Amino acid sequence: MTDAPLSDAPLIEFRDVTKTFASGSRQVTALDGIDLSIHAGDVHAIIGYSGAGKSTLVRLINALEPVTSGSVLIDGTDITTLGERRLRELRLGIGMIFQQFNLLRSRTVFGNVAYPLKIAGWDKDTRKVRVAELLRFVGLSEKAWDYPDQLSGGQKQRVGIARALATNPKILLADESTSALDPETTGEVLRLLKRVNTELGVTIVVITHEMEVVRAIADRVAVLDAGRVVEQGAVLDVFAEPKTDTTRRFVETVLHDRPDGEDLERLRARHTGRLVTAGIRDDRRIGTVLSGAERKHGVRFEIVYGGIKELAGEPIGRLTLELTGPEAGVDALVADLREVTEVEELTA
Amino acid sequence: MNWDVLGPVLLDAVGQTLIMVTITMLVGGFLGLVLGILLYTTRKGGLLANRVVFTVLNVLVNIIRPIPFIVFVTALGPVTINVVGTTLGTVAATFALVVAATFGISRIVEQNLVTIDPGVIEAARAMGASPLRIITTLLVPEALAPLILGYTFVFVAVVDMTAVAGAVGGGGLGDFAIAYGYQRFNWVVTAVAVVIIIVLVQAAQFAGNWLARKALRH
Repeated sequence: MTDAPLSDAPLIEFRDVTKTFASGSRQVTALDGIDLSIHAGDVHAIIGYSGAGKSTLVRLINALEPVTSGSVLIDGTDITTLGERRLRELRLGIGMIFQQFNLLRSRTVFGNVAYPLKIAGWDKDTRKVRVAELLRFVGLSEKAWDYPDQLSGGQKQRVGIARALATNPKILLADESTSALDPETTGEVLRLLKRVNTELGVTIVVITHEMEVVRAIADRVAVLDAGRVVEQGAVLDVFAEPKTDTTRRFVETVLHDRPDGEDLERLRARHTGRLVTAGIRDDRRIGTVLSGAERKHGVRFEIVYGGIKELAGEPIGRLTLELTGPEAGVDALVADLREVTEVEELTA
Repeated sequence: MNWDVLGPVLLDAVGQTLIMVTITMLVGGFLGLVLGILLYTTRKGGLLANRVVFTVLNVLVNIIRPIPFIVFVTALGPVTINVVGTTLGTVAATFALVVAATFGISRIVEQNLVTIDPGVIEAARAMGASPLRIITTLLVPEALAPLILGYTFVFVAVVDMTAVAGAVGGGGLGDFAIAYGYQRFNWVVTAVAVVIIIVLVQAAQFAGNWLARKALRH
């Protein structure tokens, strides 16, 4: 992060990018008018359900796929106009890791990590030094002479990361890089990616369908739905106030903070008072309001549901309260709560 | 006729067979590898995707490969005369063998390359590798074990083809077995030729299996 630019110019920029595929005689639109800016030093997540177009989108950044229209700028250069030779040079500066790791089975861990260095024309001695350095960074020095078949999934992805970082790229593309891993290994790989970002200053584009991945490492997020960016912004903001149903569903999968369906029915059956859900953030003092509720409005409260997580070092979530007391008092309390946070009534 | 006379003839025949097989495996093996790689890389979605080139090569292979070798040798006669100067002898037979093997091997190479995970190729592209580099440093090494087994299979087929070549004046063990065994009702001579061919094929199969295992590191 030492050379973070002071200017606002994005490192990666999509301008009205459209991508269509021919599927038989039909044209399928994978991406539709994408405008997106990714800034140097960020971990920028792109989340979407399968088929949303996110894997296509990430492949436009290193031009593995050509755009149909629009432009993709890397460091100010429109890469859609570049020839194959220039694109190969560009790709040396962009690492990529994959869901299925895509390691060369015929090569050892050392050979896999050295492979991009060979492509980049490094000589044997410098390759050796660099590979040793990378394997140390990902904690696999011991495994240098093992073949991919002998490694666990998490180790394979760490080799993938070492390989992707070999030529000191400024950008790392992570395409569903933890989707084939168990939760514990996922955490391990995500922590490694975070280190890649903070210690090496590499800008990371994370493609995922898991909001937990976004929560764990991303600074910014774009939500992709049916080939369009439906929402984007700082992770904290998007989590706190999701604007579209797609985003809300993604947020739900992590926070579990909003009762619905069966949960809500169960709550209603057990609690006869008014149910309201209040947003929790670091700076919102609902406790102060609630502690005065009985004295001020004659209303008592009970916490009946909720979830609070930490996100970018800040608590975020919701609590569902049962409020019992005179109708007017409850109304007044809800009004008081609305002054400090967003409140949602869970009406029948 | 006794073995004092037959012995040297047999030795010659073995030599001719070995020469035909070796040259066919080297030259046809290499050309077949190139053609197979072209078939694989020019297909739709391939590294060098090119519909015209692929269609032409594909049709060509489909035309030539199914022709029975004994018919192919004779049909290739005019070309053989132009290239070698004659249709008789080991050199002429070897020419026909190389051509036939090239087309046969190309399919086997193509089929083995198809089994490579496209994700690995994509990873190499993402690293900035050129198609030529991917072909030489990725495709062949990644498919090495099945390729070795494929070539072993071809080796046996080529031994079979050399016997056929013998029937149309190519010499070798096939010719020996027919001329001195079959046509003279000398079953022992035929049996000796058969045993030598079996030994040759077995040795090749063992060597192929061993190399393939080494390539797989198992």
